[in-house]
Amino acid sequence: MRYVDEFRDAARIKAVAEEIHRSVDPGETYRIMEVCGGHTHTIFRFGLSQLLPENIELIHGPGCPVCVLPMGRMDVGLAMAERDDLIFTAFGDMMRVPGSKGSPLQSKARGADIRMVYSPLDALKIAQENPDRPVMFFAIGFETTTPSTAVTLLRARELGLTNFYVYCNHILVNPAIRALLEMDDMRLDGFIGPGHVSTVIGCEPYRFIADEFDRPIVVSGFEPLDILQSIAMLVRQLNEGRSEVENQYTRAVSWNGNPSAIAAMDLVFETRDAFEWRGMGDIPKSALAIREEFAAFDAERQLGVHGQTFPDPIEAQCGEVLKGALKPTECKLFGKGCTPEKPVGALMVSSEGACAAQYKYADVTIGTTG
Amino acid sequence: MNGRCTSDEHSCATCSDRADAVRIVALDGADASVEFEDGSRSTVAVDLIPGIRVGDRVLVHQGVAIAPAMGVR
Repeated sequence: MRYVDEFRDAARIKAVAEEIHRSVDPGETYRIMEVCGGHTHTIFRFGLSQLLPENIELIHGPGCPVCVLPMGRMDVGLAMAERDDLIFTAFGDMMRVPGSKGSPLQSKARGADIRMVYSPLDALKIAQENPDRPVMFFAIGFETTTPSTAVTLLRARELGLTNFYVYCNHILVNPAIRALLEMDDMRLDGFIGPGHVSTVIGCEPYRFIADEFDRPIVVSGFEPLDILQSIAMLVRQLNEGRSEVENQYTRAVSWNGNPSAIAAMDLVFETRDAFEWRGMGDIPKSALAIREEFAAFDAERQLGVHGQTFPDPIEAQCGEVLKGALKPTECKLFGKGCTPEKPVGALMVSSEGACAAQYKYADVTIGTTG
Repeated sequence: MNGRCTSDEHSCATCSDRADAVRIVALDGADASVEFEDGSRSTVAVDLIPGIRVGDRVLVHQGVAIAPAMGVR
C-alpha cells in the first residue's frame, strides 16, 4: 500500500464528510478559501465539493504562482530570451504561459534557446557547461520554491560564475491573503492554509489572520482526507467563535518552519515595495527582489530589462475568478475561447489554475480517481 | 543532477506547492543521493538541512531539500 492510500481511503473520507454534515449550522453559510493551487487541484480532482453540505462554499484562491504572474513579467522574460546568445531556462509549467507576443514554447519555435529545467540547480549546471553564454533562470513560486533559488544563487557565488542570471518573480503568500481580507467586496470566513509553504515559513506568520482579521486558518496537507479534516477543523472553529491558527499537516509542518531555509532566503532576497499580481493589481510587500550583494546575478539589473505593465486580455475574467467573485464556469470565455489547449487567461494554463482544474475534472465524482 | 521531474500527469510541482518525501541514501558534501517512495533515486541539494544523516527523511521540492519530513513516511 502506498503511503498516500490511507489519505484517500473512501471509508475515512466518508466518515469525515459525515462529521462535517453533522457539525454545520444550517442557518449559516461558510465561505472558505483554499489559498494553494495544490489544494484547488485536489478539490477538483477528487470532486470534494460534492461531499460537502451546500452551505459550505470553497473559494479558489490566488495560490498558483503561474496564474498570478502578470503578462508583462512574462514579456520581460521573453525579451531576454530573444537575445541571440542567451539560454533561457524555466520550469516546464512556464512553457505554455502566454505573454502578449506568445509563450516560451512559441519563442522556442521561432529560434530562441529555451530549455526546461526541473530545478534551478539544473540551470546553474547549464551555465557551468556554457561559460561563453549568458544563462538566465526564470524564477517563480511561493516560499516553497524560493529556497531552491536561494541555494542556487549561494552556490553560483561560491563557484564564481559570471554568466548566470536569475529573473526573480518569487512572491509571498501572506501579503496576498492580507490584500484579500482588506477587499471591501470579499467575504471570507476562513482559510485552508498552504502545506508546503508552511514547511518553510511555519505557522506563526499566519497569526495576523486570526489576530487582526478574526478569521481561522488551518494549515493543510494535500490529500483528500487532509483537506476534509481541515474543513472540519475550520467549521469547528467557526461554530465555536474561535479564530486560531491550527495545523492539520503535522506530519510535515512544524510551528517555526525551517530556520535554515528562512535564513537562506533572507540572505539572498529582500522584499519589494510592491508587485503586480494578475487580477489583483499591485500588492504591497508581496514579492522578493535579489539583494544588492547578489546583484551580479540579477537579470533585471544585468540584462537591462525592467518590469512593464501590460493589460491582461480584457475578455478573460481571471481576476474575478482569482478573487472568488466568479466561479470558473461563470467566466464568459470558459470552455469556449479559453481551453487548456488554447488558454487565454492564465487560470487555464496550469493544472493548478482553478479554470483548468474545473475543465479537466468537470465530470469527476468522488472516489473515481486516485 | 536533479534529473527527476517532480511533476506528474496531474499537476506541476511549482504550482501545486508539491514536495516529495525521500530518504537519504548517501551524502556527498551538500548533495545527497535520495530514494523516492517508488524506489527511484536522484541527487538533491541538502544545504538547508543542517546535521542531516544517511537514513533521514526530508521533503524535496525542485531538487532541493526544504525541510525534515518528520512524520511523512
